[in-house]
Amino acid sequence: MNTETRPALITISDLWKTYYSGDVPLHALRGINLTVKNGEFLAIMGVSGSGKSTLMNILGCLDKPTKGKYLFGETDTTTQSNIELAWLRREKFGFVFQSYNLLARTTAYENVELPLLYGSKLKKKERKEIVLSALNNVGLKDKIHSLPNQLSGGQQQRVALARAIVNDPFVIFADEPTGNLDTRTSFEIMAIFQRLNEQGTTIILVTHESDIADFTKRKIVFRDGRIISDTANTHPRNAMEEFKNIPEDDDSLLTA
Amino acid sequence: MLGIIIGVAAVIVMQSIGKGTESDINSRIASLGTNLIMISPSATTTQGVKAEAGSKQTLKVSDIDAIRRYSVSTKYISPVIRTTVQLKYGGNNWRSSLMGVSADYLSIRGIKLVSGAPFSDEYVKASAKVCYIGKTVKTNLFTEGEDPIGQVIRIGSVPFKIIGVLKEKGQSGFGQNQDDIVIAPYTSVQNRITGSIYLQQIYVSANSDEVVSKAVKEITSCLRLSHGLTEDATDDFDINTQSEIMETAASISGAITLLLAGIAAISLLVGGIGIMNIMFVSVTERTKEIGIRLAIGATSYDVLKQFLIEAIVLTLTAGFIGIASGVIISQIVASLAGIVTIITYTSIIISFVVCSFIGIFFGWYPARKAAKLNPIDALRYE
Repeated sequence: MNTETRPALITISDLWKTYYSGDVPLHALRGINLTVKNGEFLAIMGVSGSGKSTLMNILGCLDKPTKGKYLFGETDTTTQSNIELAWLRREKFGFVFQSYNLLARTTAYENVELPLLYGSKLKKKERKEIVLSALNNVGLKDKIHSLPNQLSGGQQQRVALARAIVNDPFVIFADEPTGNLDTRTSFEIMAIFQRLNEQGTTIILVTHESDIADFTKRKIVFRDGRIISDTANTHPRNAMEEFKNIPEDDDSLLTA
Repeated sequence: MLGIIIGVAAVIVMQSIGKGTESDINSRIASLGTNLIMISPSATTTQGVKAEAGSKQTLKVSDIDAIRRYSVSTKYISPVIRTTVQLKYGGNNWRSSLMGVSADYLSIRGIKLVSGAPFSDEYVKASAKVCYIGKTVKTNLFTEGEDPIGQVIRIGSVPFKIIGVLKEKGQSGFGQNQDDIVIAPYTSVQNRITGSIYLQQIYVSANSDEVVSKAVKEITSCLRLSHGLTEDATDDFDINTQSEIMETAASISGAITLLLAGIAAISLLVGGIGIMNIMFVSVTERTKEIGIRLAIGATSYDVLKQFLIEAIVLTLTAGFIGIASGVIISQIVASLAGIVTIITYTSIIISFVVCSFIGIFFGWYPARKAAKLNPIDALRYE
């Protein structure tokens, strides 16, 4: 699919987010304008406090802007109720966090199943198929009954990824997904992101590491609540190749 | 959770003891004789002031004849004269109750003889100095193995011959020892011991349970006639039926049960507050988890439902343990203390219902707090 002819998935116009410390306003986002098309692979960069995480929270509909518009497809999210936003998150979004955020006393299977349990009309058998397929997709079909504390960091992040894709979302929002992982495992995870993007999923990722950002196709840099640069990455590095180049000293498996 | 377990167990145990005692009392009252009607002289009203009950003597032997002649719904009738007497036999002394009655009395009260001759009307006619003794009197006046029949004991200063021994009856519903008694013809007691022509009570038994109220009406008219009461004069006697006594007993036990229920309710309330605290702590501990669920797509309603269900499960589990403990403790109490305990299904069902209610009520506030969490703040919570 040609990138130019795809419809805009995310349209942000004049977005502001203001916090108040007593009477003093603190602007985390100042009049942001941004368009993201279906199928893009986007990295949002910037130092701590630059506004990148604030934007991610708003993009993921976990927070509401103080001013401005956020259109997802044709839906104006600023007019949606909390329940409608929850449905949006459930059906159209997937989330991956820096600290994995899996439920501690639940197995990998149950963690991945979780989004399917909310408001879904699927039967147990149908859910099982989807969950197993997602876990297979991230290379963890042998670990479905493991608890998070029995898994390595990389494996936990892969479970989180499986959970993010189980509802077949339009967009995956990843906030520093490789922040807690070593280099080799980071490449492993980025390889999965690249594969998902090739299959058509839009991916928006926040990172402060430029070599991670090199795996994406578009880089946006934030400073003091504004976008100061928005560049296309015409030759993204291939995470899978890089991963294979690094010597192996643990036995995590990745099925391409 | 412990509070609920204790509260529920307490409810079950107290209920079972209460019900057991109630039915025990009822059966003991019933053992007095189901169709029993008791007539006593009533408290008199002298110039509008009610005197002490039974202070005026109004019942006479002629009343008995009147009732016997004119009442159709009654079967047995006996006067009752009671007094406390000192009994002597050989070197033994014993203080006991003496009852002066007619032959019908034994039928009315269902009193049986272990040995001896049946109570005949002849004894009444002749004011015979004969008597029947109960087991307690026997054991206190006679040695083991000695046969009291035919022996002469002194009632006060008057010699009476024992012509029968009464069958053991145990304690009455009012805690009296029914075997500590001497029964003699009322004429003998009147003429030789008390010297009074008035009767303390008249016991009547109706033909059947159904005609008791009819019998009461008949007796009332008979006595009014016999006492020469004018139309507007109040009864100078009181009639109590056995069902009325049972009602009184029931209302007393009902009041006690209510009190116990009140105590149990307070305990459950405290337990509920405990549950609420547990749930609040749980919500705080799982703030991050709630944030994750919200991010993934749970609505605040989903979170509310989840925690509410957890609270209910907690209370129902506690309730179940409480019920099981209550049942076991009831059995233990019954075997140790010798009291009858009855476990009713209603008390179990009510306990379950109340527990669910407590779960919903006390789990609501924490669940709502969980549901209202902001996903971003919740996710950042460590």
